[in-house]
Amino acid sequence: MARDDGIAEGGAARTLRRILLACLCMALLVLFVFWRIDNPRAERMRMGVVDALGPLVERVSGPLDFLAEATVDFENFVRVYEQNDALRREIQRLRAWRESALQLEQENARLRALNHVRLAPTLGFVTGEMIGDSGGPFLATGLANVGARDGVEDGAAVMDGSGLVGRVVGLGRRASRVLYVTDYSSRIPVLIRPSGRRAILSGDGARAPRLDFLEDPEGVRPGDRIVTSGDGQVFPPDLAVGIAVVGPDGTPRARLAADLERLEFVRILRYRPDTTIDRPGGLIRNGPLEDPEGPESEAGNETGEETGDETGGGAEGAGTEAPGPEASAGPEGAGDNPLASAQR
Amino acid sequence: MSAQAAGPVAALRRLGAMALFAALVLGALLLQAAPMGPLPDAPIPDLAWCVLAFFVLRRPQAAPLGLVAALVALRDALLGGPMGAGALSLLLALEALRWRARELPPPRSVWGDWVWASLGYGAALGLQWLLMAISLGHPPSLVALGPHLCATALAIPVVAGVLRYGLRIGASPRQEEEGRRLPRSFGRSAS
Repeated sequence: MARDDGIAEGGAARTLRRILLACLCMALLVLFVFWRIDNPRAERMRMGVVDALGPLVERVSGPLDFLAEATVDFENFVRVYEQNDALRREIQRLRAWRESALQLEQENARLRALNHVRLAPTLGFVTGEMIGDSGGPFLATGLANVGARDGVEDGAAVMDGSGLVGRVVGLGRRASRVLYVTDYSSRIPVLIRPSGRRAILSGDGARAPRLDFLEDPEGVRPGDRIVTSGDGQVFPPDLAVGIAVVGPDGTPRARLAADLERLEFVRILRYRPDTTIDRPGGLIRNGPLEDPEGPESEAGNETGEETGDETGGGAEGAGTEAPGPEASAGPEGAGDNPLASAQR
Repeated sequence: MSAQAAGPVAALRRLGAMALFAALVLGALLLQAAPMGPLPDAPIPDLAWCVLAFFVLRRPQAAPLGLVAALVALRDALLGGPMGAGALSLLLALEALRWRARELPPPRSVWGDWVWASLGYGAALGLQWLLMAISLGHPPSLVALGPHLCATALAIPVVAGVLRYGLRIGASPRQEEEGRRLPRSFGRSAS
């Protein structure tokens, strides 16, 4: 029997509906378990859907962006005189800083030339626009309109103009999902300067994430700079994160340098760790010691000569040209060349 | 002749209503997913839930189970929540609303529907939280869910008003006729 509102009331239809509902619930539960077990693959599936809907999201976000910017423009217009004064003062202050920076830059260049400093490889990055936000309370993520075709890699660090925003957790061809540092599941190893103490930046939904596992919290003062430590080799070291503050609950927290509320453009870094130490150095020998006067000693001498040649070449290269990521990240070179390893 | 023609016409009309339902939910999802840019960090109401709940309560024939399941799965994919858990909890909550729509035929109290839709959303959030906690995930604190629930509960009557009076969805021809004869306020009750 069908009612005037169109809901079928037949017994068979009701049974079929219950079976269908049970099957759908089971399927969704399996999907959830799959997401928990094999998150990267599930995220790739999800990003396939986002790839397909990405242009649509961009079209919808365009007018909304316009409205939001118009609101801010109006606010700026109302406060134009006040802002003008503040900007003049800021320019005066920055001019003084510029002079200091130029002097320091020259001094830095001289010291580098004296010491043959080998610098870390320059980081590459790709800039994209944020086209989407997660609207729910369970995950603080956003969508950027750059993906695998632009060279973005899973796990890459994401920054705005001022500091760390988060990392890529889902990668599609044309879009990528960024997990913000404020998300409940975000954990990032950081270093606090100038004290040099290490901590884990743990998101808990608040604007200022917690600093967990902090060594000796008494040694950290509000206002200390927080940067990424590079531990775990997921993020490059020394990316600006923010400054240390004391939260309302008395726990040490980080006030983020990145402005997550006004996030429009982001830089997604292309980073490969400079050196991977995956074997003992050349001075530590595996296996029993051999007789130095035996027939193998000639082979050892040959190896030594080759090592010496390579060392010379490596040192020369380090002194004359800026090292690229490919030149510096070879694990074979690190294992065969103890001197080069020591220099690094 | 007219009886034979009524079948395809009714089917086409139902398909149209389903397409409209899907389009509205997709629109709400896109609106929800769009970055709000330089706006205050306020909780964003779940507009997709508002549309889903309105259709399941007021136009259930346009929101069949399979289509609802596909749309809540799409919501999970687009908004980036716990995959599968969000869809499962919303689907169960919507089925509870459908049960109410089936047991209490219209005209029903609009306020009662509002309370049911809000409670359903609260239950869905609770179930997601529970699934995340059981699976050793990182669920937010229950207090953090409060503002989101409140924002969604406040958005439900607004969205319902836009759909009902702006797009004239959710009223049967008989109700339309009644409405024309005797205009009443939004809070019409069963009595």
